[in-house]
Amino acid sequence: MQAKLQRRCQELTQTTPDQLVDDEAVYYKVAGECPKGRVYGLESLGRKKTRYADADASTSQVLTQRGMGNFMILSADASKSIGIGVDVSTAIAISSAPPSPATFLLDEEIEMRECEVRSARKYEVSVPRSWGDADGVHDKDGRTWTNVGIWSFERSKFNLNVNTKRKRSPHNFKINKKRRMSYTPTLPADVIEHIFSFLSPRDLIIRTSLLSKKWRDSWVSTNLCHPLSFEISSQNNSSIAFFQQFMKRRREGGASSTVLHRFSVEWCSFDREELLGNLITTALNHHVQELHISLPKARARLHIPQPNSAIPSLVFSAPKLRTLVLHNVRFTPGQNIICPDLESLVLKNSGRNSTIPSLVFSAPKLRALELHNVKLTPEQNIMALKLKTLVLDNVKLTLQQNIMNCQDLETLVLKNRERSSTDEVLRLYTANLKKLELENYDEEFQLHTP
Amino acid sequence: MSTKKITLLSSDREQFIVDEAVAIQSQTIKNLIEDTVPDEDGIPLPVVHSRILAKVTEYLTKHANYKPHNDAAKEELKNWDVKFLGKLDNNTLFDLILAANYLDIKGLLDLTCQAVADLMKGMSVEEVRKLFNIENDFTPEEEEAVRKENQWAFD
Repeated sequence: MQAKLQRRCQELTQTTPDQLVDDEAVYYKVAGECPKGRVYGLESLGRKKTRYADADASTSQVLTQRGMGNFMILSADASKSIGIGVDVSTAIAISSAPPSPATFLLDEEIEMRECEVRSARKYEVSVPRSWGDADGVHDKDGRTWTNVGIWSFERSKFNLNVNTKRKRSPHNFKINKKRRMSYTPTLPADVIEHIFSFLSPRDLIIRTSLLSKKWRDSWVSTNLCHPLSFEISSQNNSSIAFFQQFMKRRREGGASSTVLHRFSVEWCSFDREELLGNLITTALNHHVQELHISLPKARARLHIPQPNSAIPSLVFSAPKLRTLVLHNVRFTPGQNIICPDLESLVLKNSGRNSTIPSLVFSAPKLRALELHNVKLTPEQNIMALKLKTLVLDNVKLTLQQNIMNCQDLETLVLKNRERSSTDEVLRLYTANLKKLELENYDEEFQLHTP
Repeated sequence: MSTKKITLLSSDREQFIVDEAVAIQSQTIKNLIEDTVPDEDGIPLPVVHSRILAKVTEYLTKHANYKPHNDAAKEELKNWDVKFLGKLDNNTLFDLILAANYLDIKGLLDLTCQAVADLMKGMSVEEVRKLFNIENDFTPEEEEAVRKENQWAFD
């Protein structure tokens, strides 16, 4: 069938059409002889050369785009469209007459049938499934058709901006450059859904739920490709509501899995501990990879305890956690950080009196460690074997024991220490150190590299 | 690595000759090579126009010959992708998505879909409808109801 159409189209396109070109599309006015009542088109050999043949040049024009285009036929005065076409393979065939309401078949291979979309008369163009790969529909003869688009015959719906005020004939058909055709190919629904999955959560809901009935709730179950990230603050209730609603609707909507990339919570109040705990637990349940928790600074004089107890202990053993940042979070004795995949850990202001869990320093995959205003006990060695970057900000190191075991350490940053009164000189043993940064650091130390 | 050449045939029957390693990044082409006896002119891709296939092969060639080993190389490939996208107008971008979908090239599909998602960020709902030819079948009341239901997102 394709060969037959090709041959016929080759015969037809021997006539050279006049052509009109603008930057984005090629419009041809074509003449040729072909069976009355039918128009055949062909995308000819060679890039950027598209030719279409027309059944009756005196009554119609063919308007097309380069590429995997769709085209429409305009009546001689270009005032209305009298046919449409789609080119899926090398050959296309369309009717030059206004289609009758009934379904009709175009050259056995391309089918066009009327459908109703919101009471507007539209035509659905289908090709056999073997020509495309989308899910097809079966007709009564058992053939499978793939819908390649719906076109409207009202020109406004086609997004075709041709200046109609100027009088035109087939021979001076020109496109106003400023008003070019803004038509883009119609994408199948599954592809559109895939595009939506790259939107941020807020964009996803705002831009898609109001589109149409079909898209209204699609966001609750779509597989998200966009890395999900939430910033929550106790002072911003809408950020809390958004996170809660988003996760709830997704769960109810049957989304197979919603994986959180980053979850950051800044808690400035000393109450609502339960809510804080729930938020963190929700994040952990969705396999959060990067977790930031910031609590208010302790107000010891006011005897207000920090909402430490709100932090579920699961935080310290979460299996998928890669980055953990804790501000003003105190540790209770015996608490250890044993997250197996932890790569980066930042502890800030963990309290002068609370001890840092020893096992922090032997996390198997830990590559970056930052300690700010943290007290280390003389027994605590930083033993993370894979550690590459270590930042010690206002951390007192005792003699040489603290970072001895970091064989892979490449970057060491020492900050904010005044010279301590002791005469002992700190000794740092690092085999692979490439970068040493000192900032406001007056402690004396010796660096030992083999 | 095999340097066997594969000829791809666009919808307008233009031939594109590429290394097999380049071509089989497309799952569809890989299946076609395995399952079908090729046409003497090449493997026919009846839904991909030469204008688009040229872009597809440009992408595949870059990504086949360039396996990033370190961060700098990854960064360079990313920059190349950005440049590649920058040259496309919307129509070509959409055609490329259709082609990547049909040819089953995940990297290219994700890259182009991400680009369209980025386009959407500044758009009104009406503009998004227009972009994807989506018909608004809400009554004003229904539209208001959806807005209300999702009020927490619009705040």
